Parts: sequence; structure tokens; C-alpha cells
Amino acid sequence: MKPWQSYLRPSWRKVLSDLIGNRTRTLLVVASIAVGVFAVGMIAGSYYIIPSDMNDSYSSANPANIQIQTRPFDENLIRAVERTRGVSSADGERTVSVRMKTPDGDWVSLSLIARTQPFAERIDLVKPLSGAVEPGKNELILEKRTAEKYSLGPGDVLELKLEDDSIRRMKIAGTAQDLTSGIGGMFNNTKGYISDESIEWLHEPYYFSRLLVRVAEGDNDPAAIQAVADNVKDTLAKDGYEIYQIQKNPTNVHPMESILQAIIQVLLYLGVLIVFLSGSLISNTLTALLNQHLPQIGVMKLVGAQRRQIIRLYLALILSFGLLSLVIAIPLGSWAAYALSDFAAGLINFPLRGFRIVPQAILIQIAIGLFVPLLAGIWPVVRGAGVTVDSAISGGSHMQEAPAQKSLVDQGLGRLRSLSRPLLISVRNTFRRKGRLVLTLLTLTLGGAIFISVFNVQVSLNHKIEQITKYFSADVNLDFNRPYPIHQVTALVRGVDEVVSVEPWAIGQANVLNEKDEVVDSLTLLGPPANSPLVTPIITEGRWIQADDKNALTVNEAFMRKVPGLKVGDTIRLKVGTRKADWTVVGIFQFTGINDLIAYSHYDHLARTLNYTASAAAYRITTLDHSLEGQTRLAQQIDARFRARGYDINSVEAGATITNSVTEYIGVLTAFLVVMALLTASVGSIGMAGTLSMNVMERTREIGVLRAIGAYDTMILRLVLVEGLLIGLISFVLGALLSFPITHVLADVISMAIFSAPAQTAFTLQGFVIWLGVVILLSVGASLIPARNASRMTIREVLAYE
Amino acid sequence: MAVTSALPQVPHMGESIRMRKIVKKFKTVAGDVTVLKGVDAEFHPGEFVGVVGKSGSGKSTLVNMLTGIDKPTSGEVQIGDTLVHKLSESDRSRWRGLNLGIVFQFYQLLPVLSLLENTMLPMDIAGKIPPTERESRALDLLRQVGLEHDVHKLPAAVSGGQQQAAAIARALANDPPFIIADEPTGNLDSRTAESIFGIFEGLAAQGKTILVVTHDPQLAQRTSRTLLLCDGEVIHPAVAAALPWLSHPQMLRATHHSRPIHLDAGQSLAKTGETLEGVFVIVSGTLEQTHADSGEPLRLGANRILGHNAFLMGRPARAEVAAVEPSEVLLLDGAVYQDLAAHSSLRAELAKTGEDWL
Amino acid sequence: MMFEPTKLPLPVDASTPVAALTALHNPKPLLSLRQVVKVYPTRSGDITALKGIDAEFYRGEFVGIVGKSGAGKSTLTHMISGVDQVTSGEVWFEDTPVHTLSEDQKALWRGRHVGVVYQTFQLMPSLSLLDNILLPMEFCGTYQRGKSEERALELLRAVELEDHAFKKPSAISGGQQQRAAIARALANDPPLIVADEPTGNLDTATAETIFSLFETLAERGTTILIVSHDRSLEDRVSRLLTITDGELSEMRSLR
Repeated sequence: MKPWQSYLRPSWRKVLSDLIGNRTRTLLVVASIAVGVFAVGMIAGSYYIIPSDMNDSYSSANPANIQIQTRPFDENLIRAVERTRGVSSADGERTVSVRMKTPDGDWVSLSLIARTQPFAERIDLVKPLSGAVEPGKNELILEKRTAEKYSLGPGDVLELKLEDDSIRRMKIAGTAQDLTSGIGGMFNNTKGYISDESIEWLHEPYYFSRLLVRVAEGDNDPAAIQAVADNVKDTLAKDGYEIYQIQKNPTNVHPMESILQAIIQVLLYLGVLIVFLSGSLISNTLTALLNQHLPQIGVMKLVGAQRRQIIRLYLALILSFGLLSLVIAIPLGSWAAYALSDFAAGLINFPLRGFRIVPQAILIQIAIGLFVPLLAGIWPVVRGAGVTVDSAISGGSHMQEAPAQKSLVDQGLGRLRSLSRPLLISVRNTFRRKGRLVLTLLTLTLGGAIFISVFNVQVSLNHKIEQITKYFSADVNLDFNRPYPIHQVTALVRGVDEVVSVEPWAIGQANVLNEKDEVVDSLTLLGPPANSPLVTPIITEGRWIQADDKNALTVNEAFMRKVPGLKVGDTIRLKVGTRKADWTVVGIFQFTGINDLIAYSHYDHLARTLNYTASAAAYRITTLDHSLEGQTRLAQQIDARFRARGYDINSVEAGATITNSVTEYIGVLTAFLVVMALLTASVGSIGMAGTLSMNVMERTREIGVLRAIGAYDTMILRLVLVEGLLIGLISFVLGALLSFPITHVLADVISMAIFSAPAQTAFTLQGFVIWLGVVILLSVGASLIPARNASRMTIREVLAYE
Repeated sequence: MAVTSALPQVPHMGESIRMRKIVKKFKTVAGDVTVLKGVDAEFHPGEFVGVVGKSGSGKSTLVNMLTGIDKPTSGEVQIGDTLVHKLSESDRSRWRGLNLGIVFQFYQLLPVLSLLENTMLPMDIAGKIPPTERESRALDLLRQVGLEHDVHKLPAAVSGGQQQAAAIARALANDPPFIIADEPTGNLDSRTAESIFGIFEGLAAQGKTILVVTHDPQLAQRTSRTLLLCDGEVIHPAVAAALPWLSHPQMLRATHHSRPIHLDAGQSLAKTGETLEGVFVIVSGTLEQTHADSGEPLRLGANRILGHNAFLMGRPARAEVAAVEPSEVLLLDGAVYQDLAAHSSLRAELAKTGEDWL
Repeated sequence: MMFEPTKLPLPVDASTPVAALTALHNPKPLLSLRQVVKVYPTRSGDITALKGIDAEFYRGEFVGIVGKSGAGKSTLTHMISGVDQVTSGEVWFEDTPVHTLSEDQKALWRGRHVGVVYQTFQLMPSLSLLDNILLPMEFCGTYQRGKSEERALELLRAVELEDHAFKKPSAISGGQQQRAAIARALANDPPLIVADEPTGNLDTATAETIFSLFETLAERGTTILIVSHDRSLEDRVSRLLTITDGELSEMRSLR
């Protein structure tokens, strides 16, 4: 066999050697393509994985379709509901609040959830992770996050402090993951599961307070669920149970799905943007490549190549770049999609089905990886292939893109007479290749704008949280299970050092009634003292409550969704305790966007309505130290003080815990965004590095000329640096300007997804400064390295023209 | 950055360029190529020297050694008091900016600067001319080369000849004592080339040292002297002048096989009846030949051949030859000369040397 | 190393003892130029590089065209090889009106019928010598796997470069590159070779070998057209023309 029997055709060998021969350039092009393909792969992959796994795990968990809060009930009601038409199964739930001693010796509150159904068949299945599946009597199954947080596992024994301060020791029988409570679990994720047999052992009366129902048919159909819910309401009404709160969920949609999908959608848009940017990068690089190859194209035409043969050759080269980038970006993208999904799964508490390839995502990647470079390259290739042999080969003099007329920019700059000639060269060179400059600026500007915006969005979201926490400004929240006289509690609290003030709050559940006085919904009524400094509301309409208000409410934005068309001045019929009355809406305030109905009245009026006389069950305390540690310390002191005197305490909590968990949640979100910011920044960086090194390389000959007429090293470096910095700074200014609208859009989209409310856009210098640093570093780096190489070349090499 | 004190002094008008035993080797993948093989040369103020040779003869490389654009592998380049090859790359650039005006074949104007700005550029870089004088000086220079109406145009908007004229103006920006031009007319038509040479002649008359690399023999004739290179070596100017019909490699061979003879006034070179060793070429001075038959002696000056016929016909000398003044004569090796004459198809030309009485 | 081009793979009519002589009996020119004018528009006015050239070239002729830089030598080769378009006039290659062909048609015609050799070699830098020679065959559709490689190797052997067949152009000397360029020009066995200053970048000894190669080719019936400013070429060609300011004049002819 002759050595060339397995030999490639020469034109294919050219494609191959062009790929291998100039590794830096190949790397640059492949990286440009790969960044976009990677981003799309990551986002598209998680777009498929997260909702599907989230919903799968949710629906496999036998989730409750209807959840009802009502007054204490026993198994008889459960049986009655089970017999109701359309109900497949029902269960009662009881949450026993105790405090557990952590391995560090701290006391933290722990919710122990009891049910009647065996674990394997229960509504809202928990996924067994280790140890026993079912807790025995006086044993508990610890929820995954609590177990992980405190490094507890099967066999460990927990010391529990009960409501009456007695101590119980409970063995951890196993651990399990809660699949259904979703992100809500973030706010109270210290929990475990017990058998209903253990309730009384924990010194609590045996009853249930929450009813869980699964429907027999149509569990994915909101209308069908509504119908069954109506039946269940009738059953409850027959037995005289009033409904405090009711929630309805289809089986196949995780309650968090819509929020998450909205966020991933934002990422998807960013991904498309990155693809677009990488497209403009590729176009830049390919244009330069084709320019460099013009002499070769001339030679090929000289020896008989026709235009289409040359076009074919270079399209093959471009496709090879695309294929190479796919080889890198597909595995990386799949991996990142899984990592991102895993991150989200950890956040929302659902198990992933395991690593997998998402064929749709890969198809999209392949399409983008091949199509985008072709699209970006087709014009330079067609134009390059049209070069005449004469101009390509005799090259040099009449081939140069030397302008004969000064451009407008140059004319403008020409008026700056004070510019020295070397500086003029830099400035004019910057604007010399306008197409390339525009594409580079586009990439860098958009990349920078998004980078800066992400920082701003983060601040905006924090800003939002800060606003929300203004409804929860107290340092310590003291809640009793029944009202206590205000003067007693106040005196006791004031006895603690560092306490600044104490406020009594009236808090109660109420029912929303329709015209026929039937319960349609439930809401939480909060009654801080009028003019309480602890609530700084964001009023979107109307006004805040005032001291002389009677039956007046300021309601959260959730009412707008429940009662479309609701406006200030409308009345809502409420049943508070046993009193039914019309309440006037005097204002609407913006809250977190949760769907729960919350309304503020003021203490005096609400206390009267609830029949409190100079007493309250809830107290809000401010202290000198606002840190979480300080708050926690004081909460413990107050707790000890009241317990010692036999008060029936529900909970004493540090105020910052609420803010902290929300901030954590937002932090996770912005982490997603930072990933995108880094991706866009890296596209920008590759673009910048590419453009500057291409510029310098093309200017090698001019650098030689400058040397020949006396330019020393530092002057040449300065020339190149000024050019690089000029491009960098122009893009920075444009990017900084563009970041303002982008911040608005991005913050609004995300805020709508999380809070169902537009964002209060805020800006931070941080993003601007970091990006400026990145741009300067990049400009200097990307121009210095080629400039060093260029100035190292002897002039002979540079000027060797023949 | 090197210390400023290490920078070379600006040479005064009237300093010379000396090249000693310049060897330049290039490493190529195909092995070392020796482009210059020990070249010695001197250039003096006011001289307009043509460096001539075919492509590949090493003339551009030789000029690059002078400009400091490239360094010799061995040998010395001294311009004024500066040993150019000893400077660092960056210092050499600075030195060049002050002392040398370089003109390239492809003009090499910066495309983004107007002709005026191109001319001012070296002044900005070197900083020798005070900033306030730069523009008026540049305008002056451009007027000298006939571009006063195009000063604000970009290079691409003017013809090749005009670009080259601008490049000369740029070369003169810092008023350097030396102008070095590499094929300055290679891309120009003959009329434009003439005018460019005219500019050079004027500059030489002002006392500048001008070196022009060219392969155009006609233009080379307009210089005050030529340095002929072949395969990296200098052909003896007398050989080139006396034996113009030889090809360059042949001239080089002749140069190799020759040795100089110094004659004092009155000293004899050949006597009647003597068998000649080879052929004589007069390098400088004046020789007088006295034929045995006619009494009237004939005087010959530089670049004349003596003894061609006698040697080729293998007969003894028929005349007495002696120096009138201190003179230098080159003796070409006989065997080599014979071979060269045999291989030259233009033997007839030699018949013209009727004034050779030997 | 003195180089003897004895083993050139022969054109089809290799049996003809002295092909050059056939030209004398073949009244039909291989190439004829009729009133060829070339004007370059420049920003400072039009430049007429060729002022109505008339010429005929026959099979087996070894033609030298000498002239100074700027006289229009290179322009003339561009018109002949079709790499540039004539402003007016006609270029006939046998029965092909080259001046009427489209860019692509000219490329294909040139690839098959004209081997072009430049002063600067113009080899593809990223390809081995072998691939450089195969490229014209591929572009012109004469490539056959195996056979073409054999032919390319033969051509390389003929210019004594077979040991370097798999080297890139940058790995060999200038003279070797020019020989490879000539081998490439012969890839499709063209009846005409046009060379623009083929020895301009080479030292004397190497230039010598390139000339002998052309002589051999001419003896075997290939028409060789060399353009140069080097008058030493005069001694080697069978026909000499000079070009001055865009006008061609016959100096010495075989006919």
C-alpha cells in the first residue's frame, strides 16, 4: 500500500493545517464559539432538568391538593372528610413546637410534625434518607436540612425542652427529605417527624390543626380541586369548623415552579445575548483570518481554484472551529447544567434524578455551535473568495485599507491641534477598522453592561429585602400562647439590660366572607400601635393606618390578585373572632409578593375587636444591639425571664433571623446571575484580547517604520497601550451607560418573578469599579503582549516586503 | 530604559561612516546563509554613493547594518564616534531618529497621518526640534520636495512619487547628517525616479552623506561613486569600471584573484620583453606607456586596462609602463582572466582597448 | 550542488525530438495578444501600463521579456496569465478568448493551461511541497488519488526535491522553494509557463539551476515566458523582447 492511500485530499490538509498551524488563533475562535455554546448548554440543560425533576419529585410525593387550617380537630373529622365526595385520602397534621439542644449546646426551636397515616402512604411523602423509615413511639425522623445543619444522624439522641420547660430525650430513628414544602421551608427549616403516638408524651394534648386532602380525580386540574375543596368546606361547616386558611395545589406543579422558571427564563435571555456577542466576536476573528489569508486565496486562484471551491474550503474550516468548540462546550455545558440544577435542588429541597444528558439542550448547542460561526463567517468568506489574484499576490501597496479621506472622527480629532503625532496615530488607529471596532465595542459594551447590571440588580434586590424587613424591624419578637397584661410584660422586658422599647401587638386570624357571609378566604390581621416605628410601610395606594381609624385596613398587594379591581375605599367583609363586620380598605402596601393575605389595623382597634383588655399576646422589642448575635442573646435572656415566671411562651425570636434567611435566598439567586455576568465578561474579554492582538499584529509593519524613524521601546509600547486603553475606556463608558436600562429591566423581571412586584432599582459603584479594573487590565494585557512581540522583531523582518 | 548618558552624541557634519569586516549570517531552517562575507567600506561627507547589485547580492542587508536596523554577525559599524552595532535596540532607534534619514522602497508613510503629520512625526519622537518650530519646519521641507499643495492629504490620496517625496521630507525632519535610501525609486516610473534623484543630488551638495541602494544602473551613474556588491562581497570598483562586460559573479572572481601594486612616481610596472603575469587595471594615479616603435608616450588614468592583448596572445610586453605620479594598480591573475575572457561572449568589446600598448 | 534537470516527467508530445522546431512548422500561435491596453486608475490620475501590445508566442519558444521596473513587465504577465483583466484588446490562447472569460473560468483555464512562477515563489505556507503540487490538480479536477501523488512525487524528483516532499516551504531554501514552485506550475502539464522575475530572489548559482530547468522544459515543447529586469537572461533565451514604458519591441528572434 502506498503511503497516500489513506491520504486526505490536499485541500482538506490545508483546512487541517490551518487549524493546527495557528493554535493561538484556533484557540481564540474556538473559545469565542465555545463560550456561547457553553452558556446555552448550561441554561437550556437546567431549563429542562430543574422544572422536570422538581415537579417529578413533587408529584411523586403524593402532595396535598388542599390544605386547610382550622381549629383543633381529631380523627373523627379526618374520617368525615375522607368520606366526602371527591376525596381520595385525608390526614390531620399537628406541629409541636419544642426547642432542641444543638451539639454546640445552643437551644433552637424545632417543629415536630405528627400525622396519623403511616409514612409510606402519607400525603406529602417524605423521602427516607437513612435509618428507619417510620418513627417509633417517642422517636423522631429528622429532616434532611436540620440533620445536615447540625450533623445529626440516626442513633443520636436529642435533648428537647418542651413548652412547660420539662426535658425529654428523643432518639433520632432516621433522616428524611421534605419534598413538598419547597422554598417555604427556608423560613422554618428546623424540623422533624414524629408519630402521632408521641404527641402526648411531649406534654401536648392530642389534636390536629391542619387538614390535608388529596382528591380522587383531577388532581392536576385546579377546577376539580376547587370543587372538592367546596365539598370539604361543607363537611367542615357541618361539624362547625371554621376555616382559617385554605391552600389549593395541583399534583404536577411544584409550588415554586413558576418562580424558578421565570428566573431561568431570564438566564435564557442572557444566554441568547451571549450567543449573539460570541457571534460578533467570531465574525471579527474570521474577518481578520480571511484578510490574513488573502495572499493564499490568491495563490489558490492562481493555480486554478474557483470561487466556490475556496468558499467551500473556508466554510469547512469554520465548521471545524464549530465542531472543536462543541467538543469542549457540550460536556462542559452538560456538566454545568447539572451543577446549576443541583444548586437549585439544594435550594428548593428536591432530589435530582441524577446526572443526565439533555438531548434537546445538546441539539440546541449543536445548532448554535455550527450555525452561528457559519452565519458570522459567510460574509468575510464570500468577500475574501472574491479577491483577484493580482491584488492578492502583488498585495502590499494597493491592497492596504489605507484611507484616502480622513473620516469624520479623524477630522474631529484633527482639530485637537495639541495632540502630538504619536498620540494622533493611536487615536486614528483606534478608529481605523471601523467594522471591527464596532463589533468589539458591541461585545465589550454589552458584556460590561450586563456585568455591571448584575451587581446593581443584587443591590436592588437587597434593597427590596431591606424594605421588606421594615415590616419586621423589631429586634426580638416575643409571642405568647395567650394574652398577658401589657404593664406586666413591659415591666419584665424593661428589666432586661439593653432593651430600648417594648410594643404590644394585636395579631389574629380572620376570615374573608362573601355577600352570603360564607367564608371564602382567610387572612392575618396585624395590629401594631398606630405610628409604631417598627413598621415602615411601602404604600402603593391610599395611606397607612391612623390612630383614629375604626374598621379600617391597609392591605397587602395579594388582595389585588384575590380581588381584582380592589381599590382604596372599598369594603371587605371580615369575620374576626366571632364578630362579622365590614372593614374599609384605606391603603394598599407592598409586601413580599407572597399570596397570603395580610392586613394591618392598629392595636387599639384590633385589640378591642379581639376582646383584649390592656393585654396582648405579641410583643415587639427593640434593643441597643441590632446584630443577630446580640438579638439572639437578648431573646434567650427574655425567654428565661418569662419562663421562670411561668408565662406560656410560644416563641422568642431574634428579628434578624427572618432577614437573614431571605438574604440568603436572594444571595443564591444573584449567584446565578454572577455566573452569567462572568460568562458575558469572558466573552467580552476574549473579544477585547482578540481585537487588540489582531490590531497590533496588523500594525507590525508600522511599528517597524516607527522604529526606523527613531521610536524607542517605551514610545512604541505607549502607542499600543493608548490604543488599547482607548477602546477599553470607550466600551466602559458605553457599557456603564447601558447598564442603567439593563439594570432596570433585569431587576424588574427578577423582582416580578420573586416578589410579584417591580423592583426599586438601586445602583452600586462596585460593579462599575470592578468592570473598569477588568477592562483596564484586559486592555493593557491584550495590547502589551503582542506589542512586546512586535517591538522585539527586528525592523528587517518587519520591512522585508518582498 | 537605558540611562540617557549612554546615548550617542550627534555626530557633527563632516563625520564618516566606517564599516569593517562586516559578516552577516542568517539562520534559516535550511541552514546558515552568509549574506555578507566581510565587507569593508567607507563613506565620507558630501558623497552620494550608489550601492548596486542584483537582488540577493546583499545590498539591502549591508544598508540595514548601517541603519542599525539589523546587527552584523561580526565586524564593526562606526558612524562618527558611535559604534552602531553596540547599541541596544531601543537606543539604536533613538540614535537613528537623530542621525539617519531613512527612505524605503515602499515609502512606509503612516497611512493615518497626513503628509504634514508624517513629516512632523520624527520631530515629535526625537524631541530635538522645539515644538513651536516643528510645523513650519515640516512645511518648509515639504515645499523643498514640491508638495506644498498636498500637505494635509493622507498618503493614499497622492501618487507614489509624491509619497516618496514626502518620505524624503520625513527623512530630513531632524536634519540628520546621513540619508540612507533602499531602492527609493523601485516603484516609480523613470521620470519620477529622475526627480527623486535630483533631490538627493541637492542634498549631497549641502554636505549630507547619501547612500542609495538601487539595481538600476542608469540611476546609479548619477551618484558620485558606486559600491557594487555580488553574493555578499564588494566588487573592486576598478574591476567593475574597467571590465563592465563581465557579469557580476565574474567581476567578483576577478576581484578575488587580484592584488594591488603601489607605484611611486617614476616606478616601472612593466618592461619591454617581459612576460606578463596577468592584466593590470589602474585604480588611481596616472601611468605612462612608451612603445618601442613610436616615441610618443601615452598616459592612462584610472579604470584603464593594460596588458590585455599581450597576455591573451601570450607574447612578451611591447612597451615600457611606469607611474607618472604615486599610483595604484590592480594585477588580475592571468589564468583567471583568460578564463573570464573565454567565457565572455563579448570579446569584441576588448578590441576597443586600442590604447593598451602592452 | 549543480543541478541537472534530466528526469522531468514529460508532456504528452515528449516523443518529439526537438519540440522547439515544431513551432517553426506550426503556423498557429499558442498565445496571441492583440492591441492589449491596460490602464490603472489611481487617485492621482490614470496610468497606462500597457499601450497596445501585439505579440504572438509559439510552442516550445523560450521567450525573455526585459525591461526596467515600472515598464509594464509584470502587468504584461498578468494579462497573459489572466490574473488581471485587460482594459481593451484581446488575449487568445489557441482558440480560447481569455479576455472574455469570467474570473472563475479564467482560474480553471489557467490552472490547466498556464503554469505561473513568481519572484516570491508563492507556495502555500501551510502545505507540504507535495500538497502544494497536488493542489492545482484538485482544483482543476484532474486529481486522482494515488496517481496524482505519484505524478507530484515524480515532479519533485525532477527538480531534485523528493527528499523534501513532506516538508513545508519554510523549511527549505529559496532556491528549493522556487524549484518547488516550478514543479507546481507543471502539475497539470500546461503548454505555457509564465515566470515573473523567477530568479530575482536567488543567488547566482541557484538562478543558474532554475534557468537550466526552463531550458529543458522549452526543449521538450513547453512555451516559456520569462520577464526580468536582469539582462543576463539575454544569453539564454531563444527570443528576446524588451518592454519600455508599456510598449513591446522585438530584439532578437528565433524565427
